Amino acid sequence: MTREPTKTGNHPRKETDMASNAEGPADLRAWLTGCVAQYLRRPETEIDPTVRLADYGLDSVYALALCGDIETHLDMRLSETLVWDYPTVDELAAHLEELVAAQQPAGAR
Amino acid sequence: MTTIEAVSAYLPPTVVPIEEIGERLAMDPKQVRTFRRFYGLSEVRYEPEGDLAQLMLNAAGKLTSLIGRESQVRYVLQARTLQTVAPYPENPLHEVRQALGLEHAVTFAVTQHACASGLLAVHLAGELLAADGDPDALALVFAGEKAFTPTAQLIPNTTFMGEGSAAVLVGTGSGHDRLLGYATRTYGQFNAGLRMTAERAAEFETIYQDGLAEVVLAAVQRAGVDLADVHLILPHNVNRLSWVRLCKQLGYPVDRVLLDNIAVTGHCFCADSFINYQTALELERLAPGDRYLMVAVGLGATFSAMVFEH
Repeated sequence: MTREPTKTGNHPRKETDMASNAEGPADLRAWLTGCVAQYLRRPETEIDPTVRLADYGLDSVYALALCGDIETHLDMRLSETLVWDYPTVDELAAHLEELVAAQQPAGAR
Repeated sequence: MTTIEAVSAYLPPTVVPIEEIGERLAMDPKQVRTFRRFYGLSEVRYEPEGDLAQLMLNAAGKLTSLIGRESQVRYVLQARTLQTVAPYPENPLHEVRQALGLEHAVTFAVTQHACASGLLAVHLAGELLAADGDPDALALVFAGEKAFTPTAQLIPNTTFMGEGSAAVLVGTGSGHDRLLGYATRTYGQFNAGLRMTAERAAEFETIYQDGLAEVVLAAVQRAGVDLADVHLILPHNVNRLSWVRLCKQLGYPVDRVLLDNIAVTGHCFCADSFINYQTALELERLAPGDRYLMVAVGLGATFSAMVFEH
């Protein structure tokens, strides 16, 4: 609640980098892992997709920034509690894949 | 039994979008967008020409049930977040007391629960009046402050502060709203407030939702009602996310939390729940007999909840 106000501003990756389109579930998962790694300032190889993001120290500020990045990336509006409801990369990716699939026309699935 | 006789709220006319404040405070625009998108914050009210005394008097001026009953007012309390609200030797509280003809009233401020001090002041006022034993005696509680410095305009990563005020007339007789239960808990390890270390702030974030839920459930229990019987929650206006998460945790419908003012007032220090009370009446969201909760959190850190029957 009282962390430095410029924390997200220090994020090294540009927003436009985050917003490049993923092409499938594996890409979405990889993109998510990349985003989380960037926010945590860790190599992607250190991000275990089954570990809760909060356990890595991803606080609410980063959680909401991540949520905003996902909204931009997928061009959809998401629940503000997304990262609390789906707290790991695996859970988050699976949920987002369902949302993306639900948005596709039936013939495109 | 403590009762609320009347509440009046005042919001200044100057509307400032959060982007304008964010730019002034050199905030990252992305963070401001997060505040708007996920916290539900949009604008706040400022009164550039008015001082704190004027802010308080503007609320008191709408408290029509005080007119003609000034001699019954035994206590005047100012609930405030900031310990210093005016340069020495100014004393806005005494200035207001004089302007309202209440020089006879015992007058003091309550600050130690920070933004939860408004509920503490109502509780204290009721306890003092009950101890005196005069059923006609009243107490006047003020809440709301000037967002006059950068640290009073923003709680980093949490909310923007706005200017707005409330005057609350408290009694022990047959008031409009009966206080049924009050619960409060202070976690002293977070007493550094805005100067907490990153580690301590992370710890506070971890306990925040459970701390909020605990006092809500404790207040409801002390009131002898079930949470399901609570018709409306009059929340703090810190941000929308806190309430969406709390409602999920408690299984309480979020549409029964009055979130309408978050976008238009921001967080008005100790005044939020009282400003929301007036809005609830204007929107006809409280009917006679309805039970409702006022809930507040103060940095430092104090969680408080009060159950009333309208």
